[in-house]
Formats: sequence, C-alpha cells, structure tokens
Amino acid sequence: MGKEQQEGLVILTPILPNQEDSLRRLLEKIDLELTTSKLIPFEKIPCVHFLRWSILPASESLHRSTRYPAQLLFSSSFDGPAESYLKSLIELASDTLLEIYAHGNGPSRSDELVSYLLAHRHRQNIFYQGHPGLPVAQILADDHLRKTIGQCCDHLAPEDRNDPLKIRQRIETCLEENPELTHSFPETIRRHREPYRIWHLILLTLTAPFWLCPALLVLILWLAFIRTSEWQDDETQYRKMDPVEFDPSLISIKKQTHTLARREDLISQNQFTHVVEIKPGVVRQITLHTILLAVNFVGQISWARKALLGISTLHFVKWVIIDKGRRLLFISNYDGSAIKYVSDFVDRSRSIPLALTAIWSNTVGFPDTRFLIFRGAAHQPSLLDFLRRYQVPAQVWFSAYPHISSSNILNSADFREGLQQPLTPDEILTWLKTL
Amino acid sequence: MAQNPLAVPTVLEESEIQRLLLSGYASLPYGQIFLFTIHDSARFSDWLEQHSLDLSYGGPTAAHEHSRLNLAFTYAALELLGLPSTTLEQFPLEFQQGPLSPRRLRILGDTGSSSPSEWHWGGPDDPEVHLTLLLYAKDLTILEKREKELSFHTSGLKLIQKSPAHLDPEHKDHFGFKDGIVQPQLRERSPRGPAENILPSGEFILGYHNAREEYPASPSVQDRQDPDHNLPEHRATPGAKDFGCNGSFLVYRQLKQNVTEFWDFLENKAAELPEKEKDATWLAAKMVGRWPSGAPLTLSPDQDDPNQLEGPNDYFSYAEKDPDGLRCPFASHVRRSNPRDALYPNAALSTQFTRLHRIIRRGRPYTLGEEKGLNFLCFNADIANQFEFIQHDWMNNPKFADVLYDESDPISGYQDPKHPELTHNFSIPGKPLRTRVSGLPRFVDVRGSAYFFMPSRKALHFLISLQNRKTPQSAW
Repeated sequence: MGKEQQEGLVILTPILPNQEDSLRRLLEKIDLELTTSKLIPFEKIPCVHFLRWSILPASESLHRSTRYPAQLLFSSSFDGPAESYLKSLIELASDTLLEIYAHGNGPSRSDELVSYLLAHRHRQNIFYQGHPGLPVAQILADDHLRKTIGQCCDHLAPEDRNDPLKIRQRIETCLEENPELTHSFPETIRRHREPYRIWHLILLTLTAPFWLCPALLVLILWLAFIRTSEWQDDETQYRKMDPVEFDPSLISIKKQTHTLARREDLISQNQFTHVVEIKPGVVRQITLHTILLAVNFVGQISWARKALLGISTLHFVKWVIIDKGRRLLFISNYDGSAIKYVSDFVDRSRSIPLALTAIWSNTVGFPDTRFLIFRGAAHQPSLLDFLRRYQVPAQVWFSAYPHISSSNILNSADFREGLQQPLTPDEILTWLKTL
Repeated sequence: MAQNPLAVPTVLEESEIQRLLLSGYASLPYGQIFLFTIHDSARFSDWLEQHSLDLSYGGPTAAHEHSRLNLAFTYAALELLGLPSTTLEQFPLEFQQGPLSPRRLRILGDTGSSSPSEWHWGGPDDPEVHLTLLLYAKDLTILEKREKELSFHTSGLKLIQKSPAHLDPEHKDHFGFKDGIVQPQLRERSPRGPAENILPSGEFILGYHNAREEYPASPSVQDRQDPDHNLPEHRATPGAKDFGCNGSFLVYRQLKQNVTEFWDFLENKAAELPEKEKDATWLAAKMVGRWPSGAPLTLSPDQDDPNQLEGPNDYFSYAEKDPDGLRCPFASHVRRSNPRDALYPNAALSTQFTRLHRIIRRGRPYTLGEEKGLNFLCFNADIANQFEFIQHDWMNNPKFADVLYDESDPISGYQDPKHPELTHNFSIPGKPLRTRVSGLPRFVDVRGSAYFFMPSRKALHFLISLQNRKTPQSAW
C-alpha cells in the first residue's frame, strides 16, 4: 500500500454567461447516476476519498461595487500527488470532464485538461484531515478486516471467550485462514505526525524579552482596531445591505435550509459548501491570513495528540480564500446531520467556537463578535443560521466510504495496528475494546 | 438577538399552561386520545367557546378533579382557524411541514413497514389531522360520561380516530418494561432531584428562558391584529404580542409494538448465546438498558432489583459507573435516548450537551383490537433540536456516540429494508469479548404521526376571537 499523503485540491473555473443552467443539469445528471456511474465511473477512480462539483452562483457584493461571476468549484480529497490523481480521473471520464468544462473556458482536448485544471488551483489556507496517513484502500481494508475478525470471534467456543490469550489465538488462526486480510497490512504501523518540535518553543521562550514588548504593543493596537470595527459592524452597513438580516424570524433561512436539507442524510456523511464575503480593509486581510495560518497549524498538532480537541466526526475540512482575497470558501465532509455537526462544534467544545469565530468574524454576516474570538460561533442557533445562509448546494458529491464514519476509521486502524504487533494480556484487553 | 426590557420570568404562569404539560395525570389512569378534522370552523369555534371552561390548566382547580381535558392543534388547523399569515410563517418549518415531508420521513425512519401508507391516520390519503383532544379520568365511567358531555355531534368536528390511553397499574409497556421513569424537572417550578435533571422551563414551554438562557422562538402577532388584547406582550420582541407564550409543541406518534416477534426473536437469540445462564429477559434488559421493574442496568448489572429504582438512586452517572458500556450497552434504548454524562469523553460537556436535547414524555400504552402499542406523546419547545434530534441523531444513528458502526436503537430504531446490515446489529460490550446479536427486525412500527401546538389559555381565546371576528353577527 502506498505511502502517499492525503492531499486536497480546490479548483475554481469560470462559467460562461447563460451556461449555468445547462451545467447544473449536467452535474445533477452525473449525481443521479452516482452509483451506476455511467458518466463518471466514480468507483473506479483510484485514491479518491471525497469529490464534489458545486456551482457558486453569480452574486452582488454587499459592500464593494463588484459582482462575483458564476464559477464552478471542484474540490476533492485524495491520496496524492494531485497531478496523477487528475490524470487518472481524466482517463476514466475525459468526455464528461470536457463537457463540464466546455461550459466555461475549458480546453477542447483532454490532454490539456490537467494543465487547465492545475492552472485554476487555489491554495488551501486550512486543510484539516480527520484521519491523516490512511489511504482510502487502507480504510476500506481495515473496515473489512475488523468485520471478518469479528465474525470469527462470534463463533468462539464458550470456554475460550473469557481468556484474552485464547481469543487472540483464535483471531490469529482466523488471519491464517484468510491470508488475503494480511495483504493490506502496511509496512510501517502509523501515521502519527511528527510532533511539534520542542526546541522551537525553547527558542521562543529564551528570546521572549526581545520581542514581547513590541509584540504586546502591536497586539493592543490591533485589538483596539478590531473592537472598534466590531462595534461599527454591529450597528451598520453590512446587515442593512442584506435584507435577510432584517428578517426577524429568518424565514428565508428556513426556506434555504429546507432546500438544502432535501439532499442531506442520504448516507451516514454530509457535506458543507459555504462561501461568504470577507470584510474590507487591510487589517482584516492580515488578521484573517494570520488566523488561518495559526488554526491550520494548531489543527495539525492537535491531531498528533489524537483527534481535533475531542471531535472525531470530521473527514476533511478546508478554508480557502478566493476571488483575490474577497471571499472565503469553507468546504467540509462530516459524519451525521447538519444540526449535530454544528452542535458538536459549539455545545461540546469550548475552544472550537473560539477558532471558528476568529476565522468567520472577519466575514460579512457573521453573528456579533467581541474581541475577535468571543460570542459569535458560541451560540449554536446563530452559527447554524450563518452556515445555512451562505451555504451553496453541491450538485455532485461522492464519498468513497459512505457508511464508514471518521471515528470508525480511526478505531479500525487501531484494531489493525493491535493485530500487527505483539501484545501483553493487559494490552489485549484494551485492544479488544476496538473490536 | 434583541433581548426584551421585561424581566425574565422566574415563576411559571401555571394557570395559563395546559395541565398535561405540567402533569402526567398519574392519578387518572384512564385516558382517551381523540383525533379530529375540523369540517366547520365556525361551529367548531362556538363549540370550543362553550367548552373552554372544561379545559384543564395548571394551578389549583376545583372543577373536574376526577377528569382532565387538554387539546392541541396542527399547523393546518391554525391556518383554518384564521391565524394571520405573518404569524403562521414564523412557526418552525418542521411544524409547518408536519411529519409527511420526504426528508422528515427519512430522518425519523418512517419508511418500509412504518411508512405513511401503513398508518391508521395522518397519511397522505387520510383525512387531514387538525386537532387532538386528550381526555383523562379516574375510572371508565367518568371517562365515558365526560366524552358524552363533550357532545361532539355539535362541534363541527369529524372524528378520525379515538385511541384508549390507559396506564398499566405497574406503569409497564407492552414489552413488559416499566416506562416513563425519568422526566425533566422544571427549574421555575419547585424542582426536585439532582441538578443535571433540572431544566429551564423554556426547553419545553415558550415564554421562559431555555438552557441557553434565552427565549425559544415564539410566533408573534402584531398589536393591531389583537384588538381585544387577548395575548400577552411578546417577551423577546418588544411591541409585539406573543401567541406562543405558555404553549408548547406536542409530538404524537402511535407506535405499534410487535410483542410476539420481540420475545420470539429474543428467545431464539438467547438460545444461541454462549453463556447458558443468559436468557431472553437478560438480552431484552441489555437492549432496553433497564430490567422489567425499571431498575437500571448501570446500578444493577446482573439481575433485576426493584429497590434500585426508587428515589434518588435512579440518578446515576454512566461516566463514573460504566464508561465502557459493560453494564448498560452504548446501543441500548435508555442510554441512547438520554445519554446523560457519557455521550462524549468529557463528562461535564456531555451533561451540558444532553440538557439541550430533552423532552417531557406523556406516552401511554394502547390496545386497539389485536394491535398493542404505545401512544407516544412528548412536549418540547423546539421539535428539530429535541424530539427529531433524539430520534435521528441518537436513536436512528448507527454511529451513535462516535463508538458504534452499524447499530440503530434495538427497541425503536429504524431498520433499512434495503441495507439491513448497516443498522440491524446490537453489540453488548464484554470483558474480554463483546457479544454481538445480528438480524434485528423492527420491533416498533409507526401507525400514525402528527405535530401539534398546544396553546395557552390566552392563545386559545385569541383563536376563538378570530372566528368571532370573521362572522359579524356574533361580533355584536
């Protein structure tokens, strides 16, 4: 099994005027045939975890004299590298891909598609992986392994059920009887990221006297600016320009939620595609970039300490600054319902709402915020309204493992790792909890 | 969100609140649940005005101590009775749409043998449900007498169904398990028991603060639309009148219990269990999470012990006593429907989270001919975040609590007939090895479902006044 890193691609291409409807129909047709795979044989694409196409409709800016033209978003998470992934995708469905991109300024020949797509690639400011280091083939194999071994254990003789060593023995026999199971065992056991280097911290601490005073001064000035700007935002411009904000019972959000929810909860996972304008001004730009950088970094080290601050319902999450710094795109693949997803963030975590607020308080239409990180996302109903308000449907959405949750993936990998190494009787007891 | 200048109420206005919200009427074991279509709204309104004094509200009441009557309307009824469209559109979408929308059928699991085509009422081809009347009495004679006194023939109503709702003397359901044990205590109403189970009234009754310490959404009426000043001031929207205040959303589901199938299945599976001493009752208890007497497995893991049930003993912590589900399985019915402090690794956050998703249950068993089941009734202030969340994200979720793979609630969970392997399993954690039961059929089938709004005394008078204003002669 390959050792490729999980990668993400976000590609935004223009849609020609008057082509939006025809493109939407094509994409919806592809989605209808998702399982029969006539137009795009999704099941055959190697390395893909998730894939989506979503039309970002044309819209007026709320605070600039700009109109955002309609664009086609392609986003995918897969086992890298990007170029070979795109090549295999094009090999399998070149006609359909050419047809999709003919609605924009795409090439007429399939051998030009890779370079066309890569030319429209956007840098992912945040790319969070819920189960890094696990290729899709490994995920499917681990799930199958745990299921098969489980069935072996169901047939264990009653007298052997109470002895961890006998259970382990039975499991090993089961492996010998099904040698194909071991073919999926990777050579190296895991996937743990290199932890944050401790000497970075030491260096920072030692040099503190030199940078602390100027840093504090900048921090105070910056906080003062942010607070003033928040104070102005509370009263002013953006919400007055947005009729939805005047709607006390949020009726249009209800309707939007209804439309979006029709396509949700069909499998055990769901997706979010969300696009919102960034507040104008250089300070907001710098702030947002810094926050995204910091959250991406914290997201990665927190994973090294197992799961994002206790939340294990995420597969992939991305934040991407698009439209020359004017809009922020949020893309997510998660387990369970949208209400549960938002509640998980807000009602069972204290730190995640702070991070979400720090990011989205720099965008228009976000609930009232204090000092960049307080309030805002901490209120579940407001966050849900904000997400629904600026959510756009994904016309095509594919998951390679529609019935395996992120916590299932991690647990099954733990199970397999326990099988790959010798364990003491005590360790066997702990390990058997993963079965 | 603009908070109001009025003080947040700290005491319930009980005389405004329909009594069923405050009491399960344990002293009135006989009940009858009526479902009606309103075919003549003017006559109905007159009838309602005549009988409005028969309705039971909270607080001390002298009349009808041996019987109680309550009522609630569907969205279609509120529309029919002439509630202004500006008020109607403020109701939550799930209440507007009712349980028949395709998405709602999907998330609640009302498909296959539970799909609306199998329902006795409330389905797409059945008469539209408008009203439920809930009548409770001390004995059958009183129940029948009260029913006659209500003289439905003059009411402008057409009966859809009438279902008995008699309490079992031991409060047991048809599977033989004690039901309705833990009920949330209302903070604004001299609550008893441990803090985790005391909830702000706004979780269940509109017009009070909820667990987020804010008012639940409550439909408002413009001042000029209420010329008789029937309605109180809106507590969250200054200047408007509050239609929802002291009201609540009532979910009614008629749930058929496949009792024979249930025990036959358990007998068969128990015979296959490796340990001979484990019988069908043991397996059933693992699936329910309680023994037939109601004793929780968390406190009494090995055998039934009715002493474990009474008083404060029933308040227990999963996180402390049973983090691995060795006593009460993660997948069991009671652990899923109220996960207490063990939904997530952090006990304090779990408790806080669970408090946002509770319901007040008022269900009672029924027998209709051959059919046995539960008239499931529950109150909540936010159907999507409470009843539907519990049913979809906990009961029907095969990945419940981030630990399960392919198990929906073994008692009342949804089984996909097309892909049974994704949900029809039940794991009993064990040390060293778990026991797994597969091939669970659906033991509980839906036979009718509707969402109602139970108005306050004032809101009901407002509804009656709407009809009177429509017919000019009665306005004089």
